[in-house]
Amino acid sequence: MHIIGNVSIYLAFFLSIYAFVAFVLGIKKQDQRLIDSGKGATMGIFILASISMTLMFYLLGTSQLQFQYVYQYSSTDLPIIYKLAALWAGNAGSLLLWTFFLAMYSAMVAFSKKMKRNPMTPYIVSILMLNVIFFYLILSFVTQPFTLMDGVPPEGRGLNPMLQDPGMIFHPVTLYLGYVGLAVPFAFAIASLIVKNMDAFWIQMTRRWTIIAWAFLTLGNVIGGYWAYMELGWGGYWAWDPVENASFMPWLTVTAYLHSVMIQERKNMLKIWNLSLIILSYSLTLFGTFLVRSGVLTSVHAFGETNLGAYFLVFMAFMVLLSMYVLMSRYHLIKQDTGQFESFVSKESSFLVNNLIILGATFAVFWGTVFPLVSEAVTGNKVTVGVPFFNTVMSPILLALLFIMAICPLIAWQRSSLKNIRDNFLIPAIISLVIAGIVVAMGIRDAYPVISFSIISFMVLTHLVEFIRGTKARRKVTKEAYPVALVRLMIRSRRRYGGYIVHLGIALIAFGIVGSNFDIERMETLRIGESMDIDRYTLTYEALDQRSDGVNDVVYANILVEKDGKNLGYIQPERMFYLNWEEPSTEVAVRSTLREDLYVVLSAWEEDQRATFQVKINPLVKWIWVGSYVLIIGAIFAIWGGRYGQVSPRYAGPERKVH
Amino acid sequence: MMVKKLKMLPVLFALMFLVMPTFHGEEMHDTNSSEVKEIASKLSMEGHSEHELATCSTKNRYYEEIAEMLNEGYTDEEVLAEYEAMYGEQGLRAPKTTGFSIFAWTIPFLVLGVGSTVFFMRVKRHVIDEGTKEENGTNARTEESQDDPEDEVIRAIIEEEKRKHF
Repeated sequence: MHIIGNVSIYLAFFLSIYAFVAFVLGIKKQDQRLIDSGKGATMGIFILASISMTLMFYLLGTSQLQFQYVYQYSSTDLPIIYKLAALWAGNAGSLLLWTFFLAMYSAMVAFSKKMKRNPMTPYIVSILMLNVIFFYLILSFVTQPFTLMDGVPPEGRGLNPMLQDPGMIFHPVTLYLGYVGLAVPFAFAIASLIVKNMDAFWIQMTRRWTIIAWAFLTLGNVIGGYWAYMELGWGGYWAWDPVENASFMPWLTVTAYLHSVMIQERKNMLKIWNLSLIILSYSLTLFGTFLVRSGVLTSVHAFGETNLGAYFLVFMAFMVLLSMYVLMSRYHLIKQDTGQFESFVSKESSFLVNNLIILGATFAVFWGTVFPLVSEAVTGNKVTVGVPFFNTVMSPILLALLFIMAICPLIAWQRSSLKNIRDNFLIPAIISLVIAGIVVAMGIRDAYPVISFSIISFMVLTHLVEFIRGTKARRKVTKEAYPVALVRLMIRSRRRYGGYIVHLGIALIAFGIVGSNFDIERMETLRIGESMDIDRYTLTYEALDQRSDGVNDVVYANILVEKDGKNLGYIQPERMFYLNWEEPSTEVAVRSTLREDLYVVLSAWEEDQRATFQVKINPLVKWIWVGSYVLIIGAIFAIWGGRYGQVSPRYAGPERKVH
Repeated sequence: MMVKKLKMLPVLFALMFLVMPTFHGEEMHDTNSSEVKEIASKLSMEGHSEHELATCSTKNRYYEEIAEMLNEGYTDEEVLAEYEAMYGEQGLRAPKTTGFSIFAWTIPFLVLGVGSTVFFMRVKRHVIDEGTKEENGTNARTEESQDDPEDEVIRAIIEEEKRKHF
């Protein structure tokens, strides 16, 4: 079987080189047969990648411990779902998954109906092939997934208990779909530059790709956040860890891109900016992979120290230089027919301010992430850049972003009149100030939460105003009933209203984040029957017991929860002891409501059954997850069933016969 | 009068004894004390700052040490200085605001400031150009906003009808 595995990898590697050469020669000689051959090779790579994946799943599922990868990340007693999820637990397997997605996307573009007979297709697929070659180079010669052990060990090393969580099934997959998805708009952008297609064709063609990639990146980050919140030792839902930052940066730049492309489509402005943003987003996915796999920065989420980072760094440098060269060589063409700003107060300029702030936020995250390396290189002093730094630097930037998000929808294109501003913002602004007053009256005196809650409400209200305005206008024209007018209004402008739903999701997430900063925490040792009070809760420790979970042992505490004297039932924080893993894991008991989470950890216990508990009250955290659902619904709404039609590109270059 | 005062002395002493433990108790810090948490939140704790107090022995040790130092009369700054002396700047959870580390705090805002200035200058140039054109009557147009919702709805409906029929 290892022969099939290795052959599928090596063959795909050579096939990817062949496909690239066939596309380049086909374009040079304008020979359709070579292009078709390249496309065939692309499909071949996808089939081979599917074989490699299926084989690896089979090896993991049936615990073929003679394979080094299976031995390292699996064991016979592991539940089948985690045996399979172990595919992306290590470097080789996760890169195989990455390569599979890349091969799948390449085949989808090569055989896309919309791209049929489009002369850009060979260029796009050849750029994707460059990526595929790189990943297969790594899989063939640096970290091979199908290496055999010298003998067959009796048992595998097992999967780290922290990874035995539903998050492990979804988080890496969604994140990789997002990361890899960004390679597609990047390839379209570079191809459009090469063929001198200077209109918004590549943007329109990749709109769905980009939103889908962005949605997956969002989902990956949110699932990761939820997993880290429930998993002890990962610092809660967001700890500004270098690896978390690595996935946050491309998310930010793609968010900026999704906004600025609207200006290019509508006003033919910001062409260089958009190209730069997509190049930057793609480069940041490679930079993130470099961080995760190089070990240059300490992270609880990293794969450990390997030499893989250097390969990614070299590849990233190559792709960035290539992109910059192509961009600069077409600079004079891009500058032609570019639209201009007409007013400081217009939708265009507010979008650009939004971009500016998002890019500022990205830079701040990047700078904070690499500053330990910079400091050590310049002064020889090591520094830690942790949560307090990021919270201090990012809070004003992100608040400014929320404010821009609030005013952006209601500002007119080209230029906004004073009347327009007054009509749209007066009522939301007054209500937000009233809300700020209520927050102060509730006893919150710190400036940040008051300003934050006020801006969040302003943002929600301006969006509601936009929905109301649109519905009223439609009803006035069509005489439909209000609900019908609202639904039809949204369906007719999916992208716009989908975007607003996403904004509302962001507002809910921000509400949860600000609220969660008012957490309360206590740690106490209790005897059986003793109680502890925290906020309005009373927790009574009633029993400490043990049960079996497969081959593992679980020690758990039974705790009666009361709030304001009302019985809320029992919760059971527990610790699990594994047969094949030295360290026990701690399972948190969480009682979650929209108001707050009661978060209980069983810390330790004595022979006389005294037990120590850490108890936290985390207010409003559930809104982060609710907001995330809303955000994903908005993204799906924006791309679902929209009419994009057949877009015809215009080329400034020579006529091309191959497609 | 003096005798009366002397008679009161034992009572005063008794009161002092009663009150002393209370004062002493208020000053005592443990791992649940907010001051301990506040100081701990500024320390990197050898990379354990993001770990949970419930399960991390290193973090626990730090909390206990901080509580002990506070109980010995150290001020917040003295506790932090003690750890900085032991581990250097790396012992803190965020860079200091002095020396080279000041760049950690200032560069992001500097970059944002430069970006904003470039943006402002660019828009200003174009807006002034447009203004001049308007004054010369070469680019006259109304001040009315382009975002009238009724216009937009009508445009969307027309677009939809066009798609249906053509």
